Amino acid sequence: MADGADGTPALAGRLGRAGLQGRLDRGLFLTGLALRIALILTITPPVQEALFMPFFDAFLAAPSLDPWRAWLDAGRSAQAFPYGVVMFVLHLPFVLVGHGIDLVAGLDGRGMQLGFAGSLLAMDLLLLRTLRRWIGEMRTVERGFESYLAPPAQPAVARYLLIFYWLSPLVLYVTYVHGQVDILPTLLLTIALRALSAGNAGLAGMALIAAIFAKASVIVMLPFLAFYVATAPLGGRFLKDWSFVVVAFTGIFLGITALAPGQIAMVASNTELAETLRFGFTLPTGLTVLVFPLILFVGLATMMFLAPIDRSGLFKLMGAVIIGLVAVSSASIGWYLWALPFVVAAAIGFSPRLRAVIMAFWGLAVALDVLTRYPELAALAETGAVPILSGIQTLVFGLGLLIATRLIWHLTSSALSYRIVNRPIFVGIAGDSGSGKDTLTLALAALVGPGRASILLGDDYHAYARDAKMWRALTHLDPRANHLSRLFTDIRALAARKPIYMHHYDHATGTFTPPRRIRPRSLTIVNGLHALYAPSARAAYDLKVFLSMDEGLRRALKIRRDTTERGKSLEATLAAIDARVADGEAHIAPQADKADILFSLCPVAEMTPDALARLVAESPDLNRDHRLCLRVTTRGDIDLDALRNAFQAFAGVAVTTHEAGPDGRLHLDVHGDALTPEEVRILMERLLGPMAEFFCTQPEYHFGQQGAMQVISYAVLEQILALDATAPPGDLQ
Amino acid sequence: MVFDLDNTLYAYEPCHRPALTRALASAAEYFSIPMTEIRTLHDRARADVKARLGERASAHSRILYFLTMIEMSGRGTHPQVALELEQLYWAEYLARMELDPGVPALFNAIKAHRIPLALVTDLTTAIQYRKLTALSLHEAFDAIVTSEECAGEKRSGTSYARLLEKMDIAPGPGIWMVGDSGSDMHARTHMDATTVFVSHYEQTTPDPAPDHVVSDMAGLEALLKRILT
Repeated sequence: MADGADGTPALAGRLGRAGLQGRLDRGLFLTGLALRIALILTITPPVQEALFMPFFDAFLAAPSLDPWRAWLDAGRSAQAFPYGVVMFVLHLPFVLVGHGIDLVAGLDGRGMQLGFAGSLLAMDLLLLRTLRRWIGEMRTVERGFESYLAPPAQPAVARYLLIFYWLSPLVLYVTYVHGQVDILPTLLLTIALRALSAGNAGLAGMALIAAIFAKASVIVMLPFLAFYVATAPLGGRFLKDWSFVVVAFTGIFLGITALAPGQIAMVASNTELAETLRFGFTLPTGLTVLVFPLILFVGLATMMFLAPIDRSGLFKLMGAVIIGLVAVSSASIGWYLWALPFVVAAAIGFSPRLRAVIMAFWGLAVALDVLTRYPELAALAETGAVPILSGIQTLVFGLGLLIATRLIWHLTSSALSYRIVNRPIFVGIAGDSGSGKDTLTLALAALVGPGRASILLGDDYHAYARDAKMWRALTHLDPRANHLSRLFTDIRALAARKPIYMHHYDHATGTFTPPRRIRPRSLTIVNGLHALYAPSARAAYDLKVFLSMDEGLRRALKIRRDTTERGKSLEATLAAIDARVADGEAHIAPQADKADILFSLCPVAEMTPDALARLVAESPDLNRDHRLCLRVTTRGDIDLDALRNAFQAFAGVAVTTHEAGPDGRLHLDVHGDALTPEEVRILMERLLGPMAEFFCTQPEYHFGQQGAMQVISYAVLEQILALDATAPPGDLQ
Repeated sequence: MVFDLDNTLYAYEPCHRPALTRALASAAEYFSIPMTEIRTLHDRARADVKARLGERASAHSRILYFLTMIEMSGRGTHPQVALELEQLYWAEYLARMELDPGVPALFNAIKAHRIPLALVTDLTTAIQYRKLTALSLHEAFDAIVTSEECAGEKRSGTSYARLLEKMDIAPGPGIWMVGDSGSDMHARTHMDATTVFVSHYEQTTPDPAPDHVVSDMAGLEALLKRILT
């Protein structure tokens, strides 16, 4: 029955302001919150009652700059608060509030314990919020091969986290039943990971060091993160900034620790890490294989073997390492929590079945901890013929190994982002002289950051210097006048990650410089008249681009460039242009048919040669001149709909679509003259998925048509890589 | 089945607020005017444009608000800056748009019953089309009417008259209008439509009162299922 108009206000009130989806999410959230509050009110974790609260109580009774030393000097247990200054300082405000309640209400320490539990709850809430924002920001990485134009599904992220994190038995048990404080280092670690994803080197380093100075054993994560930052495509500046912050904050926290040296004694006395480190299995020789260092070693070795890895790959690898550690060693249940941000970040791309396996793993780990913690329960479980405890332990062991293996497998075999980051990308850009090859080369390299792109210039492969007599017989456009076989050899060498040595053709002198060393890098751009000429070279490229231009416009531009930048006379330039027409048609233009993308800068309206010459002479910036547009042609299997829609919707750029020609190619006219770098950023975010991992943390987006070419080139490249189902996972040497 | 767009199929405020802040912050920096003052100027400019233009599409034009704001600041007229502010506003706005998660299922259910879908919206055409594309709804509707193509806005009835003309249908309760405001509920006055108020994003109860109230698109889908079965 329909809701009647007469009942509107009442009905509106009954429905509330949230939608059905929102109400379900709110219900899940409130359920988790109610569970937490119920646990806080009904359970006083022994570890808090026996150890943490007396420690804080002693501090409040006799405040000291070094509460750890004061505690130890009183001859009390070194296990009371074996955590660093960050843990103490961040819990203290809540404990103080609780202590105040004790004094006012005469609760005899219960208020302080509730305050401590309240601080854990606050950190828990903050962790949920941080995870939601982080996973929401990561959407482009994990959304697979679908169109990226659709808006981010934030509600889906919220639901996922509410089920996978907020209602996870692991979080509830570790924090509110067992009473462990690992939620704080987990929160700080998550803040560090989110900052790492967002390219915020300072916060990433600071939060990591804070996590270590909250709980010293987090230091086992440092080598993984340091190795990632050193090898990942984040840009050199990120590494420098991150290293500086890590060193600086380590110094600051060590200075603070020196003011309260008692914490060192107490942290050092913590037997948890020592016991975990000692765990192993004894060989017939009587020697022991230490499991914990073994897994750390295998994890680091795997990371080195697979490097460079993508951001989501890092999360999978670290999740695998921590799950491996806790599953096969005797690590505290609190350590399970550390894997949580990594596993949550990785598992959003997993199937519901695998997610259920992870939840089961956590549930069994909790069950095992409960049974082993309470001897009466353990005895009950072991009364039958079936050794239940050992059975659960075996399941935890097996599921842990399964999940860790699956995470590593997912990293290497099914994630396009890993394949993109791990293998060198080759782009070939061909086109006649003056068509804009250098400009596009720099625009594409600007997104991967300094030091990550190698550029091979076709001019460097000219067979002769400018004064050679052979130029009377050949033009530069003739393939015979260029060492094209050497170009292919060099591409092969760079693909095999070997350096090459090459001369550079100096346009000012018309001679070659002595050979220079070119290192293999993440991106290699081959830019030349014949970049797409040889089939062998074409086969090596991931993306093949051909640049052309309205002929009148190209002539006008070449005249301007050669007479002003390259010191040639007008007559010599015109003669060179005319002499090259036949060779251009014979050797350069046919390469267009081999390209994945054709870019052609054209006048919007037909213009006479004189008008074009005036346009070139007068235009302050042809890249942003509204009288020109970018004609884009792609190979037939490239989907241009998402590109067109994104340009129209998010940047307000006029895009005209043309019918596919008989060759099956699609054409777009993009009027990108007014495009801003900010709009290019938004377009990249909307259109790129895994490819975004290839960029440095501070990519340089361009204005105008160059910005449009940046977007289109990388969007098409991603499509090609995704289509290329048979591409090998990368050179793993 | 006729839908309003803004604040019905997606939430307006989470897009508008940061977009306006960003544009105004840019203007504040460019003209060296404190942010509080530029906000006041913008509010005055908006009120001024609306008062001058009345109920027509151009009264919602962001570029007119920004241009008038600049002129009111005593810095002269700066069309290029106004254009940049408008582009900045819409870039941020569109990047933040999120479709109500119940829309795809609802629209599929409506289309499964072979019920035509239409959109009637009060704003200039180009930006509304950009929003539809950004939300991947550019191919969802059988007819679209913006107030820019009519003499007035929804409240005046011209948009609804244009819709009837485009769809070649007669007024009647078989037409359902779904929206978040009184101007959407006026569809009952102008084309005898059944009206549905979506309360998810809009807290003010509309005047005239709607025939139905749903919380969001999933709620509307549930309502339609009840009626159609």
